[in-house]
Amino acid sequence: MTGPQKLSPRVRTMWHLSASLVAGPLTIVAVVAGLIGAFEGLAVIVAVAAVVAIVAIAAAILGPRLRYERFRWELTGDGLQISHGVLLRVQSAIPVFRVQQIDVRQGPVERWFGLVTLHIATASSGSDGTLPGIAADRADDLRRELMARVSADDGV
Amino acid sequence: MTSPPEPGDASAPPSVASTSSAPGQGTGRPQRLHPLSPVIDLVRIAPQTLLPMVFFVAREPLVAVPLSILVAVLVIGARFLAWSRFTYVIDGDSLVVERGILNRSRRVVPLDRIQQVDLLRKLRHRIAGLAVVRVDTAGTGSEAEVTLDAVSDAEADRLRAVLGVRARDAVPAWPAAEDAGTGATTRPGSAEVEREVLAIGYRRLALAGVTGAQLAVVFAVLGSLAGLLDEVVVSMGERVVGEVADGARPAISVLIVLGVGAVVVWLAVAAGAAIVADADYRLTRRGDVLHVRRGLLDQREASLAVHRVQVVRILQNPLRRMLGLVSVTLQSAGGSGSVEGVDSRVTVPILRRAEVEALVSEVLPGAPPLPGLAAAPAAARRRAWTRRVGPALLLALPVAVLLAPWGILALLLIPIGVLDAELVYRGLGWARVGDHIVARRGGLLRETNVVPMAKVQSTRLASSPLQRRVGLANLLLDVAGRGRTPAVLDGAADDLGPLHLGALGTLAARRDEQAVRRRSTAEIAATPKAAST
Repeated sequence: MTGPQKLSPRVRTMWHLSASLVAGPLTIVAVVAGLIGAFEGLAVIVAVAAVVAIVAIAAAILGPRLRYERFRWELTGDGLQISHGVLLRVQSAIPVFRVQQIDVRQGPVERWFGLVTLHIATASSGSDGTLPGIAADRADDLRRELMARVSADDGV
Repeated sequence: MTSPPEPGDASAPPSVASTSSAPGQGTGRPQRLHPLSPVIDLVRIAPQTLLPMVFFVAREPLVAVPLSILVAVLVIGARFLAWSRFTYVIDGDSLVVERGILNRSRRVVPLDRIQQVDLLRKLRHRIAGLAVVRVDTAGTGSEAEVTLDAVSDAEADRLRAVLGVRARDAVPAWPAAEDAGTGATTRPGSAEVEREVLAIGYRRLALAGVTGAQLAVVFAVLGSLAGLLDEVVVSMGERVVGEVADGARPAISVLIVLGVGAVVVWLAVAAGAAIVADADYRLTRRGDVLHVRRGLLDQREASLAVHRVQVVRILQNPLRRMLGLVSVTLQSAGGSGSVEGVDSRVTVPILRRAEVEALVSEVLPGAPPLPGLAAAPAAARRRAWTRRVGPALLLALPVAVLLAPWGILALLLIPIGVLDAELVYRGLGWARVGDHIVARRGGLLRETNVVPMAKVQSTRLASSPLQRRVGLANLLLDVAGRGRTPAVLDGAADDLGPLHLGALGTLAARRDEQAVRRRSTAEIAATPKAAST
């Protein structure tokens, strides 16, 4: 592996899907409320409804895209580095010998997209070692590679 | 005491042969808890059980007597059954606990994973000569890994010594020579000397209570008293209007005396509570193991290997800062929080600021003297102001304008916001000294964390859009154990970035050093009497 990696592009589609599951109903409610407001002649409701609808749609379209673009991870000889976040940006560094546990999790939607989430845990509960959107066929190799690098050090 | 044969006796100094045979401390028969342990807890529920029972017996002796005997037999029988099926043994390099009447469970705790050993002697235990032993391993659960409730005093001290000294960084075979010495810590003439690091007398404990967190309550009491006084005075004033003014004066002075008296009583209570909790506070060190003993009625002891200390937290409230006092907490990696409502963290309730240095260098080997922390960047001050004075303005101005006469009081929020912002800004600071990071935060309650890089599990560099605009960032240092994540807040992103990335390399280097240390420990161990003090 060389250089910072992106997540699987499929995760973007998945995020779009899950975001639209929230944004869709919200938009419908906003449109209905806006129409009622328009019939009743309440400009404030129309304005609020329009803002809600626009923000919801924009968030569903832009959010996953930006999140995907911002997410980078890299496994080096020293450890795992993750950089993510659109507004609150977080760079996380986990030395490889601190890794205590590696979980591979897959929800039903992820299964459908052929993705898994890797949770890399240390002795500290604060560590941020979550890698969403890893292609399922790669996950096993990745986990094995990480495990191979994790030494017997108990990290405490 | 009267418990089954103690394998611990085998590791006592006279029998050197047994210790040289195996690295394990004791490989004896599984032991039971003290025979009194099934019933000792009944003392606690006795008052609320016995009284109704007495009434019951008095009213319906024919039914009540056999019934209560039956219940008592059942309860005590069940407890004795549970007791008879609960055994523990130090088997080689593990503490093995087996328990359960129907569902047997067997728990194996590797000794080198033990983070902290706590002893608790409630009053009932002290009278009976017992102690509860609590063993913590690294983990995030809320329960202690193993609780032995209860064993005899001598056995507790033996376990503390054995488990405490074995809590080492995965030393595969701890040398037999040292085991012989430390296995006998409770006996006179042991090889390693227990050295007092710190003792706190009653006067300072009282000071700790008076200046401690309870102070807020004192102010609350004062406030409510003032309110009461005000009310009474006003109502009296109304009544007195037509009367002779002299009549009310004695009453008011009585009230003032009462109020002052209440505060004095309250301060005395606070001081007393601190003394009851921490009387005879002693922090000692034997070899690598720190040991805290405290408590007047309920006695608590905690044992913690020095290299298990993850963070040293130094806390100050404004009053203590004025008086130059602090309290210090040592965080170990034990995940669990409390035993019977008492936090398992090792805390020094009060310390003069001048003494902090010595304590830190004692509990964090290789820690440098605490540096002076440079002021945070000017951008951090602006950020503190916008975050605190801004909302105060937004709230206070409309209120002041809209609710004109009394609403003007809301303007008081502004100086409070300014004060808070300034305090928060001045509280910020950090420094990296050698392999340690010192980070300070907090406005009124100031917290300084001393974090050895070697104990940092991972780092996170986080920045919000507003922080990025002015080149600030937060660096979070994830450590094991419970407690707030130590963090450098609002530092210059340019300084924190390399520190964050360097963490990977530094830690890798530390790992090498650990391996070196492990090897050298084994070498030192080969030569007897090389124990460091």
